[in-house]
Amino acid sequence: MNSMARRTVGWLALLAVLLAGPVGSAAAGEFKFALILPLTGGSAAYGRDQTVGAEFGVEDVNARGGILGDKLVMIKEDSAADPKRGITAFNKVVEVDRVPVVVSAWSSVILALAPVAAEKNVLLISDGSSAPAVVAASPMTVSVYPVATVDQNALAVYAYKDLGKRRAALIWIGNDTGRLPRDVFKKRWLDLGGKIVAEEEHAPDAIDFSAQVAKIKAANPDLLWVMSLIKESPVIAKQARELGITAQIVSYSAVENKIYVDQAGQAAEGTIYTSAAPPHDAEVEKFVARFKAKVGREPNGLNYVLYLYNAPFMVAKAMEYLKKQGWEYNGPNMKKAMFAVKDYDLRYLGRITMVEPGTVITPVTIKQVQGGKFVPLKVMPVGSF
Amino acid sequence: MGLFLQLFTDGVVIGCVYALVALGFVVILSTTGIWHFAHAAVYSAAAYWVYFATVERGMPLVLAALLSLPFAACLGLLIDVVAYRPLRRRNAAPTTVMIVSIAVMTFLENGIAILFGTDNKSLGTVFVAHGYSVGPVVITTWSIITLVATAVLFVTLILFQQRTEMGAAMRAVGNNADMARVVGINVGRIYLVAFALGSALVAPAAVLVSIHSGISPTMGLEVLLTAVAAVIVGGVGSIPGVLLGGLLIGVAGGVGVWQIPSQWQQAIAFAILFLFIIFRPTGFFGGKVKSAAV
Repeated sequence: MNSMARRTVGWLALLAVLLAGPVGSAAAGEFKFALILPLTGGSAAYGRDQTVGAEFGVEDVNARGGILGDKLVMIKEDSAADPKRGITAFNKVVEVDRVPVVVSAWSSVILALAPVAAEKNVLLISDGSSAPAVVAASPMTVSVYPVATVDQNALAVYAYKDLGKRRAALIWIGNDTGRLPRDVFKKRWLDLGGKIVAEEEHAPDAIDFSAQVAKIKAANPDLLWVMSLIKESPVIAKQARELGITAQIVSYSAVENKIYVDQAGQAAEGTIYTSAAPPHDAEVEKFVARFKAKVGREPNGLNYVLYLYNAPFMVAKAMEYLKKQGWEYNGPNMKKAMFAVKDYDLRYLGRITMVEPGTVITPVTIKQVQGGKFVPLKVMPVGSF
Repeated sequence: MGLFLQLFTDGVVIGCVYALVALGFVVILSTTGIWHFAHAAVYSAAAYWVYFATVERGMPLVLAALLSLPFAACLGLLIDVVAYRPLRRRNAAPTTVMIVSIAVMTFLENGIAILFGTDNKSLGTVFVAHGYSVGPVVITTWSIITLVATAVLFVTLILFQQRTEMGAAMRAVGNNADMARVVGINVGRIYLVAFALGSALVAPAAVLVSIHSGISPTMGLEVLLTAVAAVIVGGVGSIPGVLLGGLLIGVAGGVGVWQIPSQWQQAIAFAILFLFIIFRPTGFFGGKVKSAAV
């Protein structure tokens, strides 16, 4: 072997060692976990801001002493809100970075990652997906964000009892983001005694909803339930109002976005939606100021960002428990630790409780677009819906 | 009956949008034989120009919309000079040209995403959110402008093609470029005119859709696929055919959901395309499908 060949083999060996990384990160004085969110693509407006929230969380965990003295390290990857890209990112962080815990969001991505997480014994934490199917999508998946069974049940009860509405028209995006919450809302609405007068699905890349909206108008609803993304929701609201539909529009936290108000204009006014975060206080304002100082504007989807801010705290709390018990840092032990801790007093969000088979229960805040602002109307406590 | 008329009217309006997008595409296709998929990126770029000029620089919308025409025309020219002309010199195969056009589209869309980000943008609320009742039908300001813009652009283009020397030269080059060269027509110049004119024609549709549905880097491809279906249904190369194809797809999609669930709306456009390909491959007004050439 000549010197060139020896040098090449040497570099390759070094590269292999670097790629392999330490097995069992806790031994190296740090706990690694990964965050996989859309950093490119149509959902990046949310994903990037949520990533900033999680970075703040990691900073604050470490500023408070980390995991009983060990450092918390977060590895970021891009899913582009696309299941295939999500799996590529997941395999990278598990195989190359050797992380046993992955935090991610977006229903379609979580549902794609869930079986892979079970196969590799990695704990997959869903934080931001509202589809009920993500709960226990595999034995290694838990959701720390309240799924639609929580907020859509609350919305049905609020619309029926507080608003006195009876005739609901439903319009939703034709994928899991729309269909799964629709099932939850529809069941609860019918159980309460409400009527469904129209059900309209639209394609995920549609630019016009006039046909769906015309059918909804003909059904004469007093409630218009919209479960689409931020690209479509303002167009639906605008077209509904232009056509003369006066029904109360109800939706979910995706509409808490400047684009909704900018694009829908006057049609956005009065939209009522659910939020998984309690009404914002001065502490939240400080968080928004911190975000603005870093990014230069207010966050898109503040509630999601607050949940992502707290993800590192939840992970850190479970890691502390694991360390105190002397357990090895791996996926199954982290899942056990998360349930053992059970109650998490989260900054800005209040207490959330982990329940079997792998989700959380929280109060639900009902909010409304008023004068272009997002105003809390009512907090619905656990047990009231 | 009221619902049917509303769905029909809305179908006509959205059909006009497809026809407007397809109009520039067919001008380029009928003259140069190129399936110019980068047209989708020119459409997105025109929309982003208007966003940049109005939202980021405070220019009045009407002025920005007017300037979007020369902006799109210049971009179309640039694409022809940089991407297609070198291929013409090498006598590249039509498939190669089509692949290059898809590559140019991807390149430009990614460039837009780098400059403006991948999240959706809004021009803000341009029109007051209410419609006008005409009998049982409600029609909006946006719909009226779309209908008027479609009528004006199609009539103008048909007159241009039929009544001007340049229009005749473009038709001659489209029919047989070699023969046109023999009779002294500067084919390279005609190609440039086709790209400039075809690209400028996509700007009105881009502005209208931006006002209606917002802006994203991939907005062009979403609508171009349906527009290409309108081109084939109308008859490849025919200007009136494009309008008829767009209207048929728009109206069928709108009226179709009267009786069938709305999740099948998009499938209707491609079902029509499929039926035409099987039973009338020349479309409404097309002759023999022209083989692509550069």
